[in-house]
Amino acid sequence: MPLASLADLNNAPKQWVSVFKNIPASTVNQALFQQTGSVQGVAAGGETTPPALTLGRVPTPIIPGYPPIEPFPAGARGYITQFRASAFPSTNYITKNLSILVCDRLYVNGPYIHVGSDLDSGTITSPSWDARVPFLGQSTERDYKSLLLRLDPINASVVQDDVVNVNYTDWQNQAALSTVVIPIGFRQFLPLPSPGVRSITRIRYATTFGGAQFNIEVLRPLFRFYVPAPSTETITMNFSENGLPEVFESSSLAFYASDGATGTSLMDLELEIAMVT
Amino acid sequence: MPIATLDQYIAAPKQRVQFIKTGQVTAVAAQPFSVFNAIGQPVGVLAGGQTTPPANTVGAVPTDAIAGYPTIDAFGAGNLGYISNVQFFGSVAGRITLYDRLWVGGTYANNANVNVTTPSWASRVSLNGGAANYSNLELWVEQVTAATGNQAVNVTYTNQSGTPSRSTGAVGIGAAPTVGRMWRLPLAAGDSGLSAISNVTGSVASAGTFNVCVLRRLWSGRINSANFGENHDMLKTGLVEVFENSALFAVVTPDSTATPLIEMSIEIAYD
Repeated sequence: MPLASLADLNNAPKQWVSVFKNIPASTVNQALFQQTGSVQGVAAGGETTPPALTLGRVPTPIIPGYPPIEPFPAGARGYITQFRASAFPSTNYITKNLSILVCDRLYVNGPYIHVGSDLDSGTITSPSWDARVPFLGQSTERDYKSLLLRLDPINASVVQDDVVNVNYTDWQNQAALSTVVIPIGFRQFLPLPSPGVRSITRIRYATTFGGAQFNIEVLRPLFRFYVPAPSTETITMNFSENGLPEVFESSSLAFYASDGATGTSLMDLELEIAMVT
Repeated sequence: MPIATLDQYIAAPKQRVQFIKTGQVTAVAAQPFSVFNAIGQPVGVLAGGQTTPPANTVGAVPTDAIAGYPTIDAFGAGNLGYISNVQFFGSVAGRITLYDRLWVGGTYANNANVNVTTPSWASRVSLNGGAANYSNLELWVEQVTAATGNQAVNVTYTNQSGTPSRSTGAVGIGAAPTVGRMWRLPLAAGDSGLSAISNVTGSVASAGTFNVCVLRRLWSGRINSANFGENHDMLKTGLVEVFENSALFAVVTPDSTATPLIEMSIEIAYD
């Protein structure tokens, strides 16, 4: 049932999900958020096996790279209620701040590899991620508007002036097109002329440089946290600070890190999920 | 109904509004700028602040349905909405201030002398379901095309108590404002807000255009260094009220000469 009171939180059974990264991820560009699912540690190895390009896939915790989530009691709904982190900027970047965006990764398609001519996926029928989008309050409408479309660069060949076109359907299931000429300092979130992403129907990519490798993904941001440099303190976040984001037992938690340099940080994170029945 | 207890906040339906800017605006350090038309989500048009620029003799009360303002889901009949959490990030140190843009008029020529009859923004200042309260509103200029010379703007308005023919005096920034530059106009002594505008007059500058807007301050946060941010919970946001048709509008004051790339997630709890 939906969370309704502080008593509900106190009484709910809880589980802890942890993530441990013992080497830094190398980012492809300064100040870009880098997904850390494939970085050595627990969980590791994420999405190194490409899904079929014509479909993409809706990842779940059984795929390497996403921390496992225990099944919820029957009828329970899950909420992130606590978060603790120690993050250790790698030696070269000890003076840098660290920012991490935690998402439920709803869809990933790729990697696309540019080999000289412009890419065009043709028509794509993406699988549905409806079940991973929470309802808005007591209504039967899902909160598609909060979803983001992102280009996940895998190598440094995704550069300024490359052109990305992604056809999608918006929160009202209307066809829409996201087009961006990658600007300086591109942070990879693709502008959505109409909010929300319910499906992906086509991906095109034109580049002035060969060798670009990237995924296209749909994210549901859950919360962000920040570790000031030098990282000597434990970062904690309570339910008021993280906004009690709802998660599902099938959620694929993905951590995107940026510390303003060409490397992310070592991480030791834990988050609490309250399962409210 | 108003959120009055912790349990009400916990139980309240919530939505998250995403505000992302992947493009920057050339700025002047420590001075406020509009990022309304910067690449990102959403993206608007500076000219008039609307997809269809309104006549500058009327202006418009913008809503979330207009390009450039984040879409807000309907709250449901009788429900009130509050900003309960803001998570924000910026690539450049500076300050982000979030407003509800209640009215925007423009564009006005550098030497405009335009009589204005503004539509009412009463519904957007009727807090907690009460009567309209025009106090604590701000009057700003938003430069649309670069000025030649020190653009000065004088706005005649009706104050928060309904007294007409109040004036800001001709106020500029002491320099030629560039595109997106914003400055706040001082209300007449004793005034704390405004309920209508009756005239906009530009002077001194020999070229350039600008908008005038009425803003209700909702929240602000400081990016204390590059590539950093903070989470503000309901105790820091103060559970300020917003409406399902509010036009959320950010004014950014960077520490250096470009506005930051911005990622902001705004939680609205409604009950």
